[in-house]
Amino acid sequence: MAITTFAPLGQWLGTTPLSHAARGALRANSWLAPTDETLHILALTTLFVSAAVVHLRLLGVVGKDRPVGPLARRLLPLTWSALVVLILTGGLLVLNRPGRYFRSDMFLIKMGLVILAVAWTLVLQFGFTRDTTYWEQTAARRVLAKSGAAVALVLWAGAVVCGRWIAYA
Amino acid sequence: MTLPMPLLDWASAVSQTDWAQNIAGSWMFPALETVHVFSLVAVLGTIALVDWRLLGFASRDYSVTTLSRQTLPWTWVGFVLAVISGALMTVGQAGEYITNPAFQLKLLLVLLAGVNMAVFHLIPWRNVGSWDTRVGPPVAARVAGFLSLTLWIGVIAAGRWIAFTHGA
Repeated sequence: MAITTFAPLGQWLGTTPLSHAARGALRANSWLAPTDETLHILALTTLFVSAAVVHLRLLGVVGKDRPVGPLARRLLPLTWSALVVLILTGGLLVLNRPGRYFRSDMFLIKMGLVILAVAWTLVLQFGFTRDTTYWEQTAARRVLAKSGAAVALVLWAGAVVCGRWIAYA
Repeated sequence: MTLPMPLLDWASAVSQTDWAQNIAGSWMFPALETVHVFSLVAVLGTIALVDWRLLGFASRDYSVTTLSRQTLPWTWVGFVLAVISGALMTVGQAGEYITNPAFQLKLLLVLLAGVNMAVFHLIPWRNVGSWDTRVGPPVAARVAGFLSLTLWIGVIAAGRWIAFTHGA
């Protein structure tokens, strides 16, 4: 496998008390893993749909009859909350078998894509927090918002694809 | 649930065909799973948007008809893709799936969600014009929204449980 740099990190994580606790909890409670996965899917749906609506609106694909600012101000908090649930529910599965995840290219690529998508969402949020019309004020901002939206949609979708492939590659 | 013998025979015959085994043992399986995830995101996400509106919690400045008109195409495309990808995912072990209690529950919940939608369209939707822009739709519509949300979350949970449950 190409990315081996992170393997020691996974090994170290496996020795931490948190990882022991995760393994113990999952072994002792057979309902915990499917419940955790269900919450992960529900949060993934929330994140993906809230982000997609904002990004498709920035691209002018949906809801063109309403301004983007109020829409983003309403939906971005949902994106952030869902991200927290995704990190917690995903984190439990990673802590259960950190060695395996940190040796998986698909997992590491997924994390890379998520980090980039989150970075973009922070930029987007920064603008909307300053001013609801921030991303419409200049031509440069409009171009940046549109290109960012297109790239971010691909990043999130890529993260979903990689996530699904972790078990196979 | 005990299933009739001919159905079980048919399921095991399907799973033993070459094409079914090819899907189950190749890159096609994770590819189908990926399609299934994207389609369920579309189905659940768009349905949840409408349900939250029916419950009066969100999108209050959108009329119910506007919101459903904008979301429904995505719901249906997602649903068709979910059914196709889901069906193809089961063929390799059809006998195992149809006897799996979690799988049976999932199909039952999809069916109930369908019945709920039909009732919603037959009763509160008939005079949607009179409550279209109201923040608090009539009780029948709110109940439909609540049931829909609950049933679809149940579908997701039951689907997730399939891998942790055993069939015959």
